[in-house]
Parts: sequence; C-alpha cells; structure tokens
Amino acid sequence: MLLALAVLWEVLVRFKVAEIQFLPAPSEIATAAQDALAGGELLGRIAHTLGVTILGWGIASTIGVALGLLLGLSPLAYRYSMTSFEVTRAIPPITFVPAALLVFGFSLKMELVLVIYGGIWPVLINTIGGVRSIAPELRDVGRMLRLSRLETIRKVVFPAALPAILVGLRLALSLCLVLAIVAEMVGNPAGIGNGLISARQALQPALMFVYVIVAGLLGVALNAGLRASARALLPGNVVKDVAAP
Amino acid sequence: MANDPSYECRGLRADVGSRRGPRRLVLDDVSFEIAKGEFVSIMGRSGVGKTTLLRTLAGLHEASAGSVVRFDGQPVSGPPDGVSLVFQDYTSSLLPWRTVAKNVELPLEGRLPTEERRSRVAEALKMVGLADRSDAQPHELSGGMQQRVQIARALASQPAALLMDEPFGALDALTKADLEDQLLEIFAATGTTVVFVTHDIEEAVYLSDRVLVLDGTPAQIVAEIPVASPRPRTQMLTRESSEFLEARHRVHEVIFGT
Repeated sequence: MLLALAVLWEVLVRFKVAEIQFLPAPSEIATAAQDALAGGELLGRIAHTLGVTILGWGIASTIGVALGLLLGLSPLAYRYSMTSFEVTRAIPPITFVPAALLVFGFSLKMELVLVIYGGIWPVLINTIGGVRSIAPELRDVGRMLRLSRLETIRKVVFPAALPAILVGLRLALSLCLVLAIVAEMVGNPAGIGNGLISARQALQPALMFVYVIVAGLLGVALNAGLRASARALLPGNVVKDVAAP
Repeated sequence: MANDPSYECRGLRADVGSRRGPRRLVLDDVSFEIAKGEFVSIMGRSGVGKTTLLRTLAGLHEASAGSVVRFDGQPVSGPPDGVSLVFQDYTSSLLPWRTVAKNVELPLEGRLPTEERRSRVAEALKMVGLADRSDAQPHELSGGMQQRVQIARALASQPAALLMDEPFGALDALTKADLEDQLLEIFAATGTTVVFVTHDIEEAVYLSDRVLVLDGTPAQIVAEIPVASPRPRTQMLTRESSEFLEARHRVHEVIFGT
C-alpha cells in the first residue's frame, strides 16, 4: 500500500502532473535522507529526541504509577484530589509550552518538563483505574493470608493492576514522543522537531520530509520496543491484551 | 485448656451496608460455641446472613458493639492467627499470574525458610490431590481443581480453624462429591476445626458433626442439629444410613417448616 502510494507520488511529481511548489519527490527525499545520515546530523537528532522521550517517559511513569497506587488505594486521597486532577488533566499539555518557555527558557529542561507533565496523565489515570477495579475478594485474600500492607501492594495490588498500568505506559510513550517533538519545534533547539523547523526555514522540503518519516518510524520503534520488553519480562497471561498491536 | 472452645459467639450482632447508605441489621443475638476439632455447618436460605457470620468469624467483618466473638479465647478483631478462609469464588481468589505452587506458597513467604516452605506447599498440594500440577497456571485448571488450590493455600499455614464459604457451590455434582470426600479426609488427617457455610442440606449433613440453622431478619440460630453418623463417612453408605436421613429430615423441617 505505502509502496504503491510512494510510486504514485513519484510519478505525479516527476511528470509535473501535480505542480505543487516545495513538494519533493520520494526519490529526492531518499537522497536527502542519505545525505543527512552521512553527515551524522540525523543520527544525532534521533538520539536526542529518543533520549528525551525515554527519559521523560521513565520519570513520568514512575511518578504516575506511584501516585496512581496511592490514589487507587486510599479512598480519602482519591476523594480529595480527583476533582483537581480532572480539571488539570483537561488542559492540553501543549498549552503549557509558552509558560514553560518563559520559566525554563529554550532549554532541555523545558522539553523534559513538558514531556514528563504530559506523560504522567495516561499512566496515572490507568493506574488508578486498574487499582480500583481489583476484585474486592482479592483484598480480602490479602488480609486473610496476613500479608502486610507493603506485601499486599507488591504481591497482589500491583500485579493485578499491571495490565491497566501497561496500557497507560503505552499511551504515555506515544504521547511523550509527540510532546518531545513539539517542544523541540517551538522551544529546545535540538532533536527531530528542531530539524523539521530548520529544514523548513532553509527551504529544504526533502529534508523536512525525512524528519517526518523518521518521527513516524521512531513512534513505531518505541511501541514495538515496549511490547517486546513487556513480553520478555512478564508472564504470558498478563501481557495478552497489552502486547496486541 | 483443651476444653476451651475454638469459636465462641455471645449476643453477636452485625449489620451491613455502604458507608453512606442506611445500614441493615442482618444478625441479632447469635450465640453458639464450636469445639476444637469439630465440623460445623452453617445453613440457611440465601441472603440470611451466613456469609456475614462467616466473615465476622474470619475477622473481615466487624461485629456491632457489645457482641462477643472469641477465637481460641481471644476476641476477634481482624483475621485471627490460625484461621484460614476458603472463598466461594475461586476465580477471583487465586492470583492468576502465579503458578499453583506459588499461589499456595503466598501465605508462607517471608515467614518460613525456603526449604520448609517447599515441603509445606508440596504437602498441602498432595492433600488436595494436585501434587502433579504445581507448575500449572490457575486458568489451565478446571473449576474443581482451582478450588482445590484454594483449599491447599488455606491448609499451607496449618490452620487451627478452616472457614469455608460455600466452597463447592459453583461446582457440578460429581466434582462436588469428590471434593466433599477429600475435605473429610483432610479433616480427619489434620484435626482442624471446620466452619462450613452452605445452602445444600445434604452436603451440610454429610460433612458435619453439627448443623446450625440461621433464619429470620435479622437472623438468629433457630436450630442446632447434631449428626450422629459415624466417621469415616462414605457417599453411599452414610447417605443411606438412618442417622443421616434423620438429621436431614430435621434440618429440612426447620428450614421449610414441614
């Protein structure tokens, strides 16, 4: 399908059937990609975006899971904080970009803050949901077997909520990539997002499309990586619904 | 002292309900004793409060103020040491991500050295006839086998009292008969006290030394029926014996009125 589309695109551009300014043919994009790869610039940008995405996602996941366990387990904490969370969550993370820019400047810090902030929500919401939907019998089991509070969380609550948590982690990972690229486009002058903007400003449409494609491939790769590690680390029956593409 | 009862309840009151909604009194002035090593069934119509009573004995449900609930002489507040509970719903009581052996080992983890844990797990699984399925995942087993795993888990901590909440209620008749006999063997081998909730008259009479019947709203114990059938019991002979038929008749009379 994609290949056919690329051929069609190539033909349309090559024979000037569709005369659109700055629309490069796939062959030009391929050449640009080769050049970018050879110069080392492309790999450097990929490394930056990938690094920030994974680091930010990791921090966001840790905060999201910890906070989610607390809110899922404590009805009191849940009651007093959920309204605030619902209101805060409704604000799209991107709207914080100008504020983050003012506070942190054109920096890596600004990019990370945005990535972490956006990544927390899906993890948090899914963890809370996963914990709260645990069968009440399972909690009674924990009490009857005289597990301590910590043991109950570690051996019963966390594994039972894990499928839901993994869904949150997956959603967060894609979101973190998007936010990293947005932050790079408007704020931190590095990575793929910045590459896109620079290419546009330099009137290099072919290079621009290289970055578009790379961003897409990165998303696919991250998702596949997460699924593979979930499969490798967890028993089959937990992963079933999470590992599905 | 050896003659102390395992469980002792005096004037037990218990209510249920949500935190905000109105609370409903389900048990009022329930009094009974259960001797050590005795097998007692609690019977009654569905919704009468059998499970609430059992949960109160297990320390999962708090009795109202003024109630006396003692296990081994100690007031029950929270699950008492030496008491295991087998839940009715085995699918939500086993941890599906653990193997059979790991499920049985759960209550022993961090409490016993590895060697002893292993041998206890093996022993418990042998008692329920699942020694060869220790590495299976719960979902690979039939309902009857999953319930056996739960019983093995309850036995692993070598309880002084075993509480069972309609453990065979969801099983087919043949599996149920199998598990009843297995339970009687375990009862004979371990000498543990058993409190067994069921709505099956025949099952209650077949298994028990004594059947307590709950009735009314709020419920009280309206009858205590001893079962004189000698042990060991067998499905065919015991169920045909006059002691069995007489006890069954009396339970039936109390519950249905005629």
